[in-house]
Amino acid sequence: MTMVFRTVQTIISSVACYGRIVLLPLLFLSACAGQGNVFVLLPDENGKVGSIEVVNDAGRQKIDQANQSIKVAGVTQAPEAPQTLDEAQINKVWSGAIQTTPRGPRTFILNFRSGTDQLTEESIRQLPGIFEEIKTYTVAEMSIVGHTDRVGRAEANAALALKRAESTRERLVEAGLELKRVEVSSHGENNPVIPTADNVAEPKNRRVEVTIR
Amino acid sequence: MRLRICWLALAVLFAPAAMAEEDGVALVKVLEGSAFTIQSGDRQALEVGQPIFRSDVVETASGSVGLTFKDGTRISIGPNSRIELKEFEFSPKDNKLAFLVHIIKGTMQYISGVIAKLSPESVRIETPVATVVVRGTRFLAKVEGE
Repeated sequence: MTMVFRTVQTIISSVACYGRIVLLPLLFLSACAGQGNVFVLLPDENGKVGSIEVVNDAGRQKIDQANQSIKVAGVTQAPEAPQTLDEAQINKVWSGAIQTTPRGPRTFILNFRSGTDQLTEESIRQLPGIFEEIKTYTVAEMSIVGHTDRVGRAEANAALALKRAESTRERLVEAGLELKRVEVSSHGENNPVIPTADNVAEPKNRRVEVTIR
Repeated sequence: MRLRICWLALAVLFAPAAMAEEDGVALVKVLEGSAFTIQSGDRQALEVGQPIFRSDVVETASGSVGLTFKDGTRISIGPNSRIELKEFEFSPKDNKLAFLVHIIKGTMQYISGVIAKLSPESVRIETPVATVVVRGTRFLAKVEGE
């Protein structure tokens, strides 16, 4: 019974949306939410919900809850008050875009002994996991970024971070890495996991981030 | 012999620039049906693994396509859509970050990458009716177009 009612409702609302025969505009407003210009905030793959703001010369509107949407009728009309969409409404309009979502990047953090480009024992044990992960990507690409802590001069750290990234690449190549697209770079001491004052030793910041995407 | 060494030296000299050019800013990772890229007026069918370049227009008819950018940002484009990649800069070391996509028409999903994490104000999605300021992390857009 509910099923029949829902089907009838869908048919009527489709007619209302597509044929512009707006019989009971208020009743069908939510069913038409996919029409026109629409922006919808979704939770990411980890369930985290960020926020977006839709802005034009006539006004602005911000949303920060899952499945909230904002319609914009035109460039001279202010973004409308948020409405929450359900899964069916979202899939009806965006299933094509959602179905072709590429696999998200995955980052491995490898740590180093102080002042060296020598991986810690624990990090060496992580290497096989990197190879397993590569297999799960279509046209896998990799970036290898070196980082240091703030012991020593910034220039020296930039060079050390690059050395760490390069030795990681060599190690992966020796272990059989055959990827065509590998970028190696250095962020020196500028991108710490744990921010510290200058000249503070922080083992967690002495790292290389290997990201597969 | 000497000439060969010269050529080799030249090749080495220009290799990094040529490679960067060849790599583009994103790769086609997922394709359903067909999608196209328009590079300076030239329309070409896309394949999985193909690079996308700055200022390319990506177009679909009945198909859909998913792209992953160098910073891990992902964009997937539904049927009957037309999207222009206006700006992309990913160089955290030099503090150069930019991500600007223009949706001309159709449907698109955006999932943020490192650029949005390091500098949310560097990410913008433009449409003919409004601009989306992104503070993370995943959203959908639909644009009627002309």
